[in-house]
Amino acid sequence: MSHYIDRFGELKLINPFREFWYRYENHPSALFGLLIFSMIILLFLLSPILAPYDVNHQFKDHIMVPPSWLSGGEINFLLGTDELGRDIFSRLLIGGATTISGAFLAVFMAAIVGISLAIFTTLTGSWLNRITIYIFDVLLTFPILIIALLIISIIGKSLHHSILAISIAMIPHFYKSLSNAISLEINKPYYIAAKLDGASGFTLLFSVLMPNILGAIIIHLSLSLSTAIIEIATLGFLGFGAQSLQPEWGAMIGNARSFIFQAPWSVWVPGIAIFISVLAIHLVSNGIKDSLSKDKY
Amino acid sequence: MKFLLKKLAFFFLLMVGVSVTAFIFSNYALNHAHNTVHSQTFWNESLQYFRFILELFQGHFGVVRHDGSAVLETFLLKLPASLELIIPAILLAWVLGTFLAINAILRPGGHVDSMTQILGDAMNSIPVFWLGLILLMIFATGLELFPVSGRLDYIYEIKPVTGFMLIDTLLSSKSYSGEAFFNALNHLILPVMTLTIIPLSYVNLQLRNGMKEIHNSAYIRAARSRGMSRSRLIWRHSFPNAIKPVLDGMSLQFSVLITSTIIIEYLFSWPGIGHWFLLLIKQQDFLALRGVVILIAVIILIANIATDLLNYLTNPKLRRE
Repeated sequence: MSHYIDRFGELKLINPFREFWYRYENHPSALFGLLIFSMIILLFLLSPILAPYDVNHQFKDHIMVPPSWLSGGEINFLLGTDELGRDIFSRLLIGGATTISGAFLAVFMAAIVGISLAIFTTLTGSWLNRITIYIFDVLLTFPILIIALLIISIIGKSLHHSILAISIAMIPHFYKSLSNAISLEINKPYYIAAKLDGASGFTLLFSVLMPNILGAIIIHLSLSLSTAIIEIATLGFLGFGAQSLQPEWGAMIGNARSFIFQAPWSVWVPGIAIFISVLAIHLVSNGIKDSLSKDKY
Repeated sequence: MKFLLKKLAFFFLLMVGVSVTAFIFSNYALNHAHNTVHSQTFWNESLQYFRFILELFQGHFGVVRHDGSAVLETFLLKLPASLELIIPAILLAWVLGTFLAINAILRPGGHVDSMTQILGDAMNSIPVFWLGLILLMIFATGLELFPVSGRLDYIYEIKPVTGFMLIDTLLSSKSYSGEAFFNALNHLILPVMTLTIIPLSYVNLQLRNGMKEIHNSAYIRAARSRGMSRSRLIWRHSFPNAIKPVLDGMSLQFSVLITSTIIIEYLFSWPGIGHWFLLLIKQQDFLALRGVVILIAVIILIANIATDLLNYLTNPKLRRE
C-alpha cells in the first residue's frame, strides 16, 4: 500500500484497487483478454436465448452439413451439423455454458477447501502443518488427470462426476501454492508486529494477512480456471466426462473424432472455442500478475 | 553424496505415502463396487497392508483381471513404447528450445523470434487432444504423409527384444528390417511432434527470458568489452546460468508430459502405458490399478530425482554446500 501527497499537502492513502486498475488499464493484451472473456461469459449467459435449435434435435435430412460459408453449407445451420444431424452452433453455445460453468464450479469448490485448509494448518500447530504438507506432497506426485481418472473409476463416469473429480484433484495445488505464500508472509516483520501487538486471530487473518496474500489467491484462481476448462474437456474427450446427449466441448470433439474425414468442421469448431477461451483467461491472468507485481511498471 | 542420500530418503518417504494411498484407494473402490459395508477392523486392515507391501518387495504388483497376466510384467512390456515417445520429445524440446532461445538472443525481435513467441503463447492455450487431432487431420488424413495410428504396419513381423521398435527393427534378421525401421520412424513422427510442442514452448520461453536477463547484466557487458567471442559468451556464461530455473520447473513439466502421453497414446492408438491405464480405468480393475499407480509414481519420482541430480551437477553453488 503506498501513499501520495495531494495538492493540499496532505498524506493520502492510494486505494489499492484503483492502483491495480490503473496498471491493468495500461496493459493492452490483458485488456483485450478481458474483453474477449467478458464476451464469452455474456454469450453463455444468453445461450438459452441465442441457441436457434434444441441441442439434441436431429435434422434427419441435414446430416453433416458443412458450415454456412463453405460450399454446400446452409445459412440455417451457421456452423454446420454433426454426424447425427444436430446443429453445431446450438451445441457450441450450450456446451460452452456447460464447460465453463463446470470449470467455475470445480475451481470454486477446490479453492474453498484448499485455501481454508492452507490458512488453518499454516496458522495453527506445526505438526498438523507437517502432516498435511506430507499428504498433499504424496498426492502432488500424480498429475491432475490421473487422480481425476482414478476418482471417476470409483464413482462412475458423468459430467457431474468429472467436475467433482477435477475439483478434488486440484485441492493439493491450491493448498501448496497458498501455504507457500502464507508461510512467506507470517515470518515478515509486519505480521509478527501485529501478533505481538495482541491482534485477535480474526484481525490477523482478515486485515493483516488477507490483503497480502489476496494477489497470490487471485493469480492461482485465474490459472486454475484455464486448467479446469482443459481438464473437463479432456475427460469429455476421453469419454469419462459428459456423455453424448449432454453437449460439452471436449465430448463434442471426442464424438466427432471418428468422422474427421467426412465432417472435419465438427472437430475444428469446438476446439477453436476452447482455444479462444483458454487464451483469453491466460491473457487476463498474465495481466493480473503483471499489475500486482509493482516493480514491473 | 549427502545430497543423493537426502533425495533417496525423501523418495522412500513419498513412496510409503503413495503405497498407503493406493491401498486405501483399492480397498475403498472394491467396497464401493461390491456394495459391502466397510466392516474390517483397523488392525485387520493394517495387517493386510503389510502383506501387500511384502508382496510388492517380492515383485507381485497384482494381476490384470481380464487376462490374468502380472501387472509388473505387462508394465515393463509396455514401458518402452511410452518411453519411445517421451525421451525423443524431451530431447527435441531441449535441443530446439535452446536453438530458438539462442536465436532470440542473437537476433532479438527478428522474424523467427517473434514467430516463436506468438506460437509459444498460443501453444500454452491449446488442449493436447485437439492439437493432436489437428496435426492428424493435416498430416495424416490430409497430406497423407504419416500413418494415422499404431507403431508399425502389420505386414512387418518384428520379434520384440528391447521393446523399442526403432532398435528392434534394426536388430531383426528379416530381409525387410531397414524398410521396417523407416516404417516405425514414420509412425513415431506425428505423436512425438505433438508431445514435443508443449515442453518446447516451456523450455524456449524460460531459457529465452533467463538468457536475456543475463545478457543485460554487468559481467556479460564486461566480458564483451574485453572482446570475448559471441559463441564463448553464450556457451560459457549465459547458457549454463540460464538452465537452472528451467530445470527447477522441469518436475512440473513431467506431470504435464505424462498427462499428454496418456492422451496422445489414446489418440494415436499407441500401445503404451497410458493407453493401458485408460483401459484399466474403463474396466474398473482396481487391484491392477493399485499396482500401476505405484509403478507410475516410481517413474515420476525417479524422473524428478534425475532432474534434481542434473541441477546439482550443473550448479557449482549447490555442490559446494
